[in-house]
Amino acid sequence: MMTKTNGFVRRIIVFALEVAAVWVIGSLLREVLPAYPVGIMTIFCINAVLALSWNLISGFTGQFSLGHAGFMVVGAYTSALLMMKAKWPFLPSFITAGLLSALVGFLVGFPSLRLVGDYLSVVTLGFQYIITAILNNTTKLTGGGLGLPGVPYVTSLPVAAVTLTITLWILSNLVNSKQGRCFVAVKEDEIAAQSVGIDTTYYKVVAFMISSFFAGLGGAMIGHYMMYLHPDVFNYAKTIESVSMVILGGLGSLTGSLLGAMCITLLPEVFRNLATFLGGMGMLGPANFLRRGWMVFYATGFLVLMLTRPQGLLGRRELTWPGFKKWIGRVVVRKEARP
Amino acid sequence: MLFEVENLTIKFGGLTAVDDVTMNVDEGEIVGLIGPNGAGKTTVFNLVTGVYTPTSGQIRFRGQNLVGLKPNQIAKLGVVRTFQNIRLFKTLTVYENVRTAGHLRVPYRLPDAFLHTPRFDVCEQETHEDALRLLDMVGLLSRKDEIASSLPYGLQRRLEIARALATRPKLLLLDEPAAGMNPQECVDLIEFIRDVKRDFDTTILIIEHHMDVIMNICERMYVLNFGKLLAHGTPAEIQVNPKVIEAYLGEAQTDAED
Repeated sequence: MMTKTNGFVRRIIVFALEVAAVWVIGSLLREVLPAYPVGIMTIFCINAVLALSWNLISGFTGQFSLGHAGFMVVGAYTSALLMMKAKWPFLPSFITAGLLSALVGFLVGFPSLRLVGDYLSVVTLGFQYIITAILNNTTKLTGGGLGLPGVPYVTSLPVAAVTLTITLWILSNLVNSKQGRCFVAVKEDEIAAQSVGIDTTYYKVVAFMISSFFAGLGGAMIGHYMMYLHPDVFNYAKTIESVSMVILGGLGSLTGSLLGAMCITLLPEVFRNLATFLGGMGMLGPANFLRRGWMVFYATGFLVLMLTRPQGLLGRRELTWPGFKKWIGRVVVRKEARP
Repeated sequence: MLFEVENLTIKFGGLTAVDDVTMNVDEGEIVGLIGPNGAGKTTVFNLVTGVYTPTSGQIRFRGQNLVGLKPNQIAKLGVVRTFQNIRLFKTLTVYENVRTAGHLRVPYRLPDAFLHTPRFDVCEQETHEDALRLLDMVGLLSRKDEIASSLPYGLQRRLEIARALATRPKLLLLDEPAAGMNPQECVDLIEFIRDVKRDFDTTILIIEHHMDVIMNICERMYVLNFGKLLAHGTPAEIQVNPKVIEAYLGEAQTDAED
């Protein structure tokens, strides 16, 4: 029993050190690097939180929600308004944003998670449009369609990176637990899950609430990064962005979501820079084509990936240190084995 | 009495699939439920496990009424089933299938899962060892890391029973465990079910078409035909019961006409 407690304390200390290290590295990078790469890294961290949260409900629990942006927007406006109108400090506003999103997740999830498959997708999609319509029409509080300017800037690289670290830690703890296994059981076969005593409705609602909580945090970070909010920022395309990150990385893989978020955050920048580079070299034709038509490459790339590797880059596997070492070992052995 | 069904009836529109069935199972018994195709055997299982709600009648387990409870609540009380067409967690490994089903006996709550508290560590260690022990008992330990759907058919059946056992059921309902098995696999299954009853101290209600299996392991059996209880008795009594013979031969006759 004693050693178990020590194991827990040690893990908490290690995690605290990790968070501290991430904070320090984030702050250093912000000082040292130009604004452009720092911005990309910050956006990556936000996107990763959003992808991870969608992965929990859809990748692990198998409930294909299309209302993710709806939960982001709840978090975004909650945190922004609490700081602006109620003069709350950042941290309580931020956490309240997550909690309110989770509450909304409960209200949406409790009745609709009895639905299966496509029906759930349609209901959650409908929820997202409803919430956008509400925000567009509550002009006094949220500025409505005029948007909400003057949101305080808080989401610096260290803040975003630390939020991502904590999200990843909590979610990886969760999926490696009894509850995590029940989520997967719900995805695998609901009838079989019930037959061994798993309360599928309960686990679906719980997964939905936790997913909404982190979506709310992600949305709040977006507001505090852009310093401006508009209901239409959180449209259907915003949901699909998170969805594509998770599907690219692999449904049901946390590190896959990180990888997917990285690819989808970086890809437009790579094309943009390539276009600028080609333009600088005097190749104006290809440069202009890239600038206007990079989406074609992006879409084609996605199609090819889905045809050749429908389970995503990682599938259900996780990238881990021991796994990485083994892989390196295999590569080395293969090279040595060559005559 | 561990388990009682009284005047159980369910109607689907004009069809009475189960009609006024009364049966009981005592602690430690292995009881068979047989009958021609479409007699309503699986429907009885679906009623008992809460998949369907009966039109009328009572189902009692240890004196508690099961009618109206959800399938997961019934499983939690200790009535756990397997399925006629195997329902494993297909893409999970053998070990993960059994480990997942062990969740009922894990007491920690959501905050423990978030933070991996000391309590989490203790429980996880226990369930991990328990899953391995269970796999060892059912002879699947050497294949624990294989994907469930890649197992041979007979072993998938065995894994499904193992998964049900991971919940430590008081009453295990087996729906045609020998379906699709060859004679050798049937012999193994008979051994296996006997071992299960002994090692897990559980009571078993079994639906089966293979007469050699059911005559071999059951102490008592019920015969259903067209939703009605046709006969009840020991295997020896059932084998010579004229009504049972007629029901089965009657079916054979219609087969011959096809």
